[in-house]
Amino acid sequence: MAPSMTKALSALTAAFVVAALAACSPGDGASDPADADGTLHVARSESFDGWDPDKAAAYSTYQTLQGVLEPLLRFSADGTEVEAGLAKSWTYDPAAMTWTFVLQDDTRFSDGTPLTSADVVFSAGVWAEGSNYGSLYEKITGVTTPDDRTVVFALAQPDTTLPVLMTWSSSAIFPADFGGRTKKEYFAKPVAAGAFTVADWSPGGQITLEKNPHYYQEGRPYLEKVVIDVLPDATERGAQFQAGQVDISEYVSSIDAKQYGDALVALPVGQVEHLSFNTTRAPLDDPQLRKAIAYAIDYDSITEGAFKGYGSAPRGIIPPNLANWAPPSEAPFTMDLERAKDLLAESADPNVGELELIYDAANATDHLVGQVIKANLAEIGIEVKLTALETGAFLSRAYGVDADLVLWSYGAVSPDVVDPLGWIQGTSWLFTGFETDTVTQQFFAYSATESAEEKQRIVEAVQNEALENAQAISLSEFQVLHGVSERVSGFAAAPWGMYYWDTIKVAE
Amino acid sequence: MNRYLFIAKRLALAIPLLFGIVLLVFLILKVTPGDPARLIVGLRASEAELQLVRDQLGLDDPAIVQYFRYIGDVLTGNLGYSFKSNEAVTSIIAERLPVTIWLLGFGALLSLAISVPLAITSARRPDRAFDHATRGFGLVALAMPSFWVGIILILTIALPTGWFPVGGFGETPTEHLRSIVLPALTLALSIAPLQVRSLRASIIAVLGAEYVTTARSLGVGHGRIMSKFVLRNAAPPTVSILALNIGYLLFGAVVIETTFALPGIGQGIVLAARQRDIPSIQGYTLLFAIVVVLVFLIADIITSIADPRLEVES
Amino acid sequence: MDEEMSRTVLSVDDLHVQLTLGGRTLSPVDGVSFHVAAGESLGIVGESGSGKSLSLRAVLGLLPSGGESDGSIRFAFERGEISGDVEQVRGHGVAMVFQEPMTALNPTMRAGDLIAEAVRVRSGLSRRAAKARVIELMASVGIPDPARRARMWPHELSGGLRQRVMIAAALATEPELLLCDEPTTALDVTIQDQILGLLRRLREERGMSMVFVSHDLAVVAEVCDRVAVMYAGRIVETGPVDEVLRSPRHPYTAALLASAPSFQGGGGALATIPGSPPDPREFPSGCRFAARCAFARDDCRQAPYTLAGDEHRATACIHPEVLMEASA
Repeated sequence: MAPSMTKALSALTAAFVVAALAACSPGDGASDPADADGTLHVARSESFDGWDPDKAAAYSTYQTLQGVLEPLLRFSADGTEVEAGLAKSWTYDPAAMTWTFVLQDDTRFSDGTPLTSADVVFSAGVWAEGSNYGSLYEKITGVTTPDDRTVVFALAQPDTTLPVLMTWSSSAIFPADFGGRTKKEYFAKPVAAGAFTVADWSPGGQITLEKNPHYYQEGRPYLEKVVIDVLPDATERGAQFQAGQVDISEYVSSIDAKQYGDALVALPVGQVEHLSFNTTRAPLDDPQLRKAIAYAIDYDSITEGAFKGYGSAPRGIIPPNLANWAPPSEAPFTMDLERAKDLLAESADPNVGELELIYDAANATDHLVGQVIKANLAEIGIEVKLTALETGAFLSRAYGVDADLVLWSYGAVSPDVVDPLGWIQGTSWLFTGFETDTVTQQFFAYSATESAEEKQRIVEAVQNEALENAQAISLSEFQVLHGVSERVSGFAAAPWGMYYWDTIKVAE
Repeated sequence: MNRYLFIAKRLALAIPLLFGIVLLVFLILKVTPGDPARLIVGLRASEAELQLVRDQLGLDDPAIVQYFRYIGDVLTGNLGYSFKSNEAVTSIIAERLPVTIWLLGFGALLSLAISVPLAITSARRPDRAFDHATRGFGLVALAMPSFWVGIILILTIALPTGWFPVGGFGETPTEHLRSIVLPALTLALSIAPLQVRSLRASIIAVLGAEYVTTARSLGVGHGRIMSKFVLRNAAPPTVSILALNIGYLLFGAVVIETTFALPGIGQGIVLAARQRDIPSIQGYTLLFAIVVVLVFLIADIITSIADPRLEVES
Repeated sequence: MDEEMSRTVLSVDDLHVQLTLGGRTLSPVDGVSFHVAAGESLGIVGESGSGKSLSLRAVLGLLPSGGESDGSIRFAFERGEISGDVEQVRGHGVAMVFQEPMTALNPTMRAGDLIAEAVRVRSGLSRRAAKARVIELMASVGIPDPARRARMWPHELSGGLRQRVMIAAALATEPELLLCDEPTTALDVTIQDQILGLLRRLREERGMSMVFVSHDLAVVAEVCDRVAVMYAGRIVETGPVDEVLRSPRHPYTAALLASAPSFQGGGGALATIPGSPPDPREFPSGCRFAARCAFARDDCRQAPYTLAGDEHRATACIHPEVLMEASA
């Protein structure tokens, strides 16, 4: 061997490895000093959409936003009720069509400046301007402030659901006039009233949050820091979790659930995986055909095979475990091949040919569900072409209602059925092109009535109509999964997966 | 003087090449479906708002106009602003670049540390046990995809021993060093087999050369023969191969950075692609193209320096 | 001719070289023996393919891959005897000069650096001292402006200069025995003369022994004291060079002389030796020259090989008298 050359290389490598080894502490994988004083490490696969709530599109962004930019109200741990937050009380006057919110006694922004009703007024203006969510706030015709602590929202029509909307991260409370900064400057590093402040962040990179010393809840948050990482690779995320580098791995796909073993937390079912039919054109404008397909599907296979058992058989199109949820009174679709074939024979044109099913290529479970559907429909003689599309392309076509079949899922982001109802309405009836006048009326009726029974009756009606029309069918009700390390206590997530960081403690 | 002219000429040729690459990427992004405006504005935005964004970004202008606007910006050092975060693409790249340089640098070093001794030993005793074993190992290593190797290293070394973090890059230089070991090793294993093959072949060829016989006849020691007579002459083809593989190396960086959660250029371009962040994608691609062209140029220069017989055309 | 000194610097006895190429084994050197006395210059002459270069390389163990040698090779230097391990003698008593200086010099090493390597083999001098020695050596082999030339690459030097560099490198190891494998064949005639003159001068100055392999009788005549003629892997005649050239005792030697231009009396057409050397894969039994020999007798084709004679003069021909009669 050439001594000079090989020795040099070997020496270099040896030095490199020794230095690397010497830099490590014996045996311990996650011995960051920060952990010793209460740092929570969170990992998810979606990158952060930025601090402007109007731009938020992913659960992980909503989750991060509510930690810093807290809205007036919060949701309960079981996800069925609205709870006090920055506002301690909220009262409805149906005659005057107003909602009156009273703020907690001492509320401040994280820089110490007081939070008053004037800030709420300003924020309401920002919400209404939002290009994405602004339309949701159209029902607010005016905001007045009788005093420092009180805000009155005037409504365009009777609406009992405003508090639910006030738990959304899009209803964040900003300092009036953005504290003297421009909107762009503000959203580069926002100052708000949530449990944490922004220490450091970069989109697509790491976010570091620090405890807000002026948080309105005494003694909270318990954590000093929350560090959020974007790890799109599921195996890497699982590995970091096992190594103790990550305390909470959010929104774990059912396919990767195994990696977490006992540390996996499966929330009550709250998501609906749905198959939407294009009702605007042949052949799926025929309800008989749609029902035929609905009876051909092997729902168990989907729940067991695609969701690995983290779900249950579908009951209706509306996600369960929300306030005022009610099941349909009619029997939901189940697998019945004979019935499916009969319905198909009776349909307007039994020679269906090929149907195209589009889904988001980034979603591995949808890929599996698609395979099941394809196999199922082959049994009744219908060919299905599976087209996986990149997210942007998928959304374009879905919104454009230009594919035969659309496969997706949805759930709530707040504790009330009004949330999914609004989504159905806003997406041309879940991308089916079905008329939305009926559901819009039902939505308004639901919002107007104060009676819980009446609300549930409306929900039941929506569920039944969905079964009768079969414009979109529920394939499975599945669970959101999180990986939570045993170091963590005080973890309480609503069925749709969101939780508050200010209830959490980490053990040493 | 010849050499400087050579470099200047090559650089001059590189410019149209870069233009062409940017054009290609530009066209590909234009042709693939999916409206970036939709992703910027959000799912619930109205058509009017979508149109506003499209006007703002000039997405409805003719492709030619958009292309030349972009070229003009690039030449003034402005690579645009990310659709996703509004951060300047140049600063996004500047933030991520060092990580990738760490990875590629240490990876290349490790690969040499592995391949050179193996090649020398195999070449001196060709077709014997060691040579066969090396070739077999090389074949296996070549067949293993780097993300798989990375995961295996994580599962078999990082997790059980805790010596190395399972992912991420750390804050301090010491943490950087610790974090880069396994990724660099993964990269090294993916390119070492090619280097061993090439180096072994050229060493064998050189060992049979007359000037090696001369050296032996003079009684020069084995070590000096290897370093001064053999490797100096055997290296250039391998350097060329290493350089030609720069594209593969960059790709490897993408895969490895994603596997090990390293916040470098590779992970950056994956994220940008998922988010349809066109300015970032174009920026990264331009960077990759520049790197590849530069590396080819440097390899040519090194080869011409190493072999003084190569006359540099004037 | 000087009296021979009693010491035999190189004794090669019954040397066989086998080449294994593509599964077949040949013996291009088939029982060769020669001795070189201290201060003596021995020439080995033969056509290409006769095995002369291989014999020389075998002495230093520098056979190409697939080659193996067998036989006794012994050295007797002033400092002691060595046999068996050729690695020890390389650069420590024996050095070699090759035929093709372009390929024999490392293209990635400057001329001076190569010579310096050789200097270092001999004595572990410091870089600066080695550098001075290099210049000295280059001057001694007649390289003009040695300091400048030392920094040049081989491809920047002319053929003659390259050969001088190689000789300088060989001399740097202060050899007692210099092996030359057709060192002037690749050079043009004027340069050839210069190199030959250089070699002669160096021999005189240093009292070096030399083995000089060539296909050119005239060249051998100029630099050698004794000559051994090789044909088809065997030595067919040995003797003092002027004696052999004046009155050869083997038909092959005579034929060589007849066909060599420099040995013709003026005017006559060049004769060539009819036929061609035998295929090494199928050497005939008996005398290998018999097929082309003008004087062959019947028993030649069965004659076993022996080099008959003494240290001074020997021949492998079993009927040398026939030849001597013909040329009388």
